[in-house]
Amino acid sequence: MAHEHTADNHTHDDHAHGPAHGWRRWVYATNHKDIGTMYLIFACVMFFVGGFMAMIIRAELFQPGLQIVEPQFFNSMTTMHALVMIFGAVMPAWTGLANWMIPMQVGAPDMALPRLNNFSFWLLPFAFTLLLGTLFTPSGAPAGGWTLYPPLSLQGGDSFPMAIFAIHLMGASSILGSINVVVTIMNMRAPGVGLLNMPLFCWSWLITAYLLIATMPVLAGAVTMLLTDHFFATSFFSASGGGDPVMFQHIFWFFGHPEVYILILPAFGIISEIIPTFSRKPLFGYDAMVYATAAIAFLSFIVWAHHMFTVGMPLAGQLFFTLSTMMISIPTGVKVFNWTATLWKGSLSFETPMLFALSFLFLFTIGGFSGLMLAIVPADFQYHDTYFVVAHFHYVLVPGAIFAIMAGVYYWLPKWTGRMYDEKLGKWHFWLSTIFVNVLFFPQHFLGLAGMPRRIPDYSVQFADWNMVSSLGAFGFGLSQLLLPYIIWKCVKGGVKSTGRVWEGAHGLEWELSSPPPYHSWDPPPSRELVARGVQH
Amino acid sequence: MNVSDQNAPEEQRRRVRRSAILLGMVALSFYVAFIVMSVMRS
Repeated sequence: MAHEHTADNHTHDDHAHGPAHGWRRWVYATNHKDIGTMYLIFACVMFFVGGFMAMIIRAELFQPGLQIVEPQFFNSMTTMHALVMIFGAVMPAWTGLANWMIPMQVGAPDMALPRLNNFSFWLLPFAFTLLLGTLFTPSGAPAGGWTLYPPLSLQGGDSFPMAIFAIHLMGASSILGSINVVVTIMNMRAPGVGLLNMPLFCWSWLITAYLLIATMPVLAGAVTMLLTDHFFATSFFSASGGGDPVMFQHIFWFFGHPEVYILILPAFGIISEIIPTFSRKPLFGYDAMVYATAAIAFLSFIVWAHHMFTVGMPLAGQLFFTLSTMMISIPTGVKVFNWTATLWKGSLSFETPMLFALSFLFLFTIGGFSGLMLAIVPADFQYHDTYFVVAHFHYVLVPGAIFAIMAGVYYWLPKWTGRMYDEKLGKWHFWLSTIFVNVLFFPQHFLGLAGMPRRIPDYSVQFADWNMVSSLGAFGFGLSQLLLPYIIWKCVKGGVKSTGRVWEGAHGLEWELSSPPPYHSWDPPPSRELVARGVQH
Repeated sequence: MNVSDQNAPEEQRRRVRRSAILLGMVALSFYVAFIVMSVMRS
């Protein structure tokens, strides 16, 4: 039975009123659900902006030769697509899901620092206005790749300081959001919600938040030094002044590799929620999942140089970074094994969230395998800067991170809105996405192995066929994503009313609340009996 | 540490504030440390 909230549960101090009306509700928002909704809408908008840039890239690559855009603009598109998708779509989507779910899952009335939460969100529209504004500068948007390697990035003209400032704002937003997550989980858990029985989504976000706090300042430091090299005549990365451009690569990837796990660890948490629900079994090896997540996070700090084998490094360095990278497959393998073991002999049903979760399981593993190939130095020398790398990280990030976000949205949408989405349309969305994502990215493995370099607007005719297939997949994938906002709109406007538990096999405190949940979720905190019922492990 | 161990809301608020400031300091120290390290190297 859903937890009932009555007005006399609250005092004025607890802000036991409903939401403000009109624009004030959103601009001055301190409620975790409102802020979560804003994050998710922002992420969705950025997903389509970044997706549109991807369509331009794939349209240009549909045939060899230059057809649609100038090479400089093409390079801007590859750079901006990455920045928008990483910092504008995937990371805000995770923060949105964290805002919505963490207080409900740990039995807290809200995030620990609601005003800071508001500030974290509202930094983002300013950051992305600045970043997208670079498209309208005379020099054009940044075109040196999202890695901003000097000396190329220093030649960026007017757009350079705008992009650097935007990155600082995004970083500040992420750090403040992460502080809020850590502080909420460590201080706001209801009686009975212990660290080793809270949902794995909270665990994966807790570890992600620590990663963000440790690595985003490193990126901020790197781009600050780029800025001083450009405007204040320092020579951190300028060889002519005694600096070292390779040092930038080391610093960037010390941030960049944990960033990959920042994008994927919350996905592991969501998949660990969904698979047990639709298998109607407890998760296999909860403790092992927690330790595996922590192990992946730790290892992510000692593998960065596998991104830069080709700059040259001592043999000991190559061996160290190869082996440490391969070691990541051990805790990741534990996770894949445990998800599979959870499915084993389960009473499975295949609603849309489960379909996306299963697709994640297969396709993310393909991305993991190609990552192992890239960890081998002599092989990496061949694959580096080819489409094989593009295929690898897109398998990790699209059917990995983005499919997990889709799974999470379908899983919790009935809880958020109190209404069911159209299951038939959800399945259409799933099948179209899964088919087209493979048509889009699988041929890129072949292109890379055949030697096609990444970040080029034109290519040799030998690559024409697979590029055409890949572009057709991209158009299909892009178009099929239009279903998502339509399904959400249809659900909000006229979906069938859902129950509090929504999914028969669901466990966790959020399912003990009504659908939609009250404005202040757990105020007063849930009773120990309710917690015991909600806890699944 | 969960809510049951924190009888007074004031104590919880103090705990929240203290851990937020601590984490902010950690982030700031990473930022400064990497710049200082680069200054020393270049």
